[in-house]
Amino acid sequence: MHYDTIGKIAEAIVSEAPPSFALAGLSMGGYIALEICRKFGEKVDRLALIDTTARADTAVQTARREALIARCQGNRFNEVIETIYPLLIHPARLNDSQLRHQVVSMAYGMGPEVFIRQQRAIISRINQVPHLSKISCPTVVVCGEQDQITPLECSEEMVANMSEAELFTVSNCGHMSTLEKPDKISSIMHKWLTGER
Amino acid sequence: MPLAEVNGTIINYRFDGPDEGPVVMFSNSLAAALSMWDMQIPALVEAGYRVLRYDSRGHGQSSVSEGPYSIELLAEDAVGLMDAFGLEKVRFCGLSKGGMVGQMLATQYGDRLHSLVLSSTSAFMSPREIWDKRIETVQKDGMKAVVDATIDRWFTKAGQALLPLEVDRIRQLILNTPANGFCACCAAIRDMDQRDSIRAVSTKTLVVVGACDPSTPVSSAEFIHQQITPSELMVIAEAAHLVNVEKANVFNEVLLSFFE
Repeated sequence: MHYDTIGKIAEAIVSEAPPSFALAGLSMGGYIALEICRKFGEKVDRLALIDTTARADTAVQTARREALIARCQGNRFNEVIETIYPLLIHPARLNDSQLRHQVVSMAYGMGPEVFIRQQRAIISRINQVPHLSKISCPTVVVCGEQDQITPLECSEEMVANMSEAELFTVSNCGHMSTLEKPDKISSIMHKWLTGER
Repeated sequence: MPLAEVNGTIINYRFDGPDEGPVVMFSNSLAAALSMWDMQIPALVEAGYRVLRYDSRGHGQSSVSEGPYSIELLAEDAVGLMDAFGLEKVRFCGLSKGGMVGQMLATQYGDRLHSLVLSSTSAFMSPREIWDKRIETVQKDGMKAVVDATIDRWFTKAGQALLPLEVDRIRQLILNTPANGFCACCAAIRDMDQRDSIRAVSTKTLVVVGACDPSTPVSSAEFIHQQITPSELMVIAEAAHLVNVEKANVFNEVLLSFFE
């Protein structure tokens, strides 16, 4: 599967998914989850939106992504990783070598070509804020309090626009919440999956 | 047409926006003039900035003093203009040659800059022969001999199709450039090498480049970004050299967000 728009990725996922399912997405996964809800909302039983946003890219965000893409094309993916990494995690964890290893090895495993496709998809995403009100399944919105990529206000905005959404703020946590605070996120998701609907 | 006597020459300048606003100073590219920034003015004035534009030496309505010029001389002109209006510090935005002047300002007069935008520019333009050839061509046949090739470097094909009126306006700007002023500035660009000196820049800098710029490609912008520690790089998609015109809205948003 090689797709470079959120719409095509969403369609590809649904084509292989069961008739109905619980759906969780972090960051870009959240952009995809919101697109699945918009197009195939009847299939989504429960929804978890983690460290993500319903907004489209701003011109400035897109210009930053294009600069990262150019560096990938110039064979400097390592620089891209070094640029992004400090933004992904809570500043107090910068010296946490285990966390760094997890994130960085994931990035190298993915490679620059996939990174470029993902960035193109992220750039092309639409503003989902006007569509949030149609989401009616039980929803949790989770955000690291120190998320620098999709800050807390983005999660607050999503909750404010949905009828069945509950906000969980994770303290001392950046954008990579599932890796930074795994126990906390797992416990939120466990309740989310087993709770009444 | 307000004129100021600066650094032994006459400079045509223009202010827009509120008198009390923070000053943004724009410096034009080779073969252009202050009106190349027309599409930036409404957005900046709306945001409360006072905009100072000028025709660089040998361009537009400014005097064409005898060449060759140097980037140092053009930077002195910019500082002279700031002095003429008692401007201690400005937010400086230069494109192409204007960005070369911006780099020189940051290394020689860094205390006069609040922040710096270097758009579509380079620290070094090789090879010399291209510039010698360009000077020879224009001395012999005038600006009309280089206008088509220039437009093709300044706008993508798609941009030329999409913005026919703007492209035509810029074409007139190129054709109206005094041939002697153009040649004197070509020599300044030819003789410039700021690759080492800009490493000392401590001014907060934004480096902007069009993804499809054939004159000063993304790699030139990345080099500047790597040399200048307090800098950020932004690449604007589907744009060539004159990115402030071809993608005016994106350019304005990027500029305003940086100045904030």
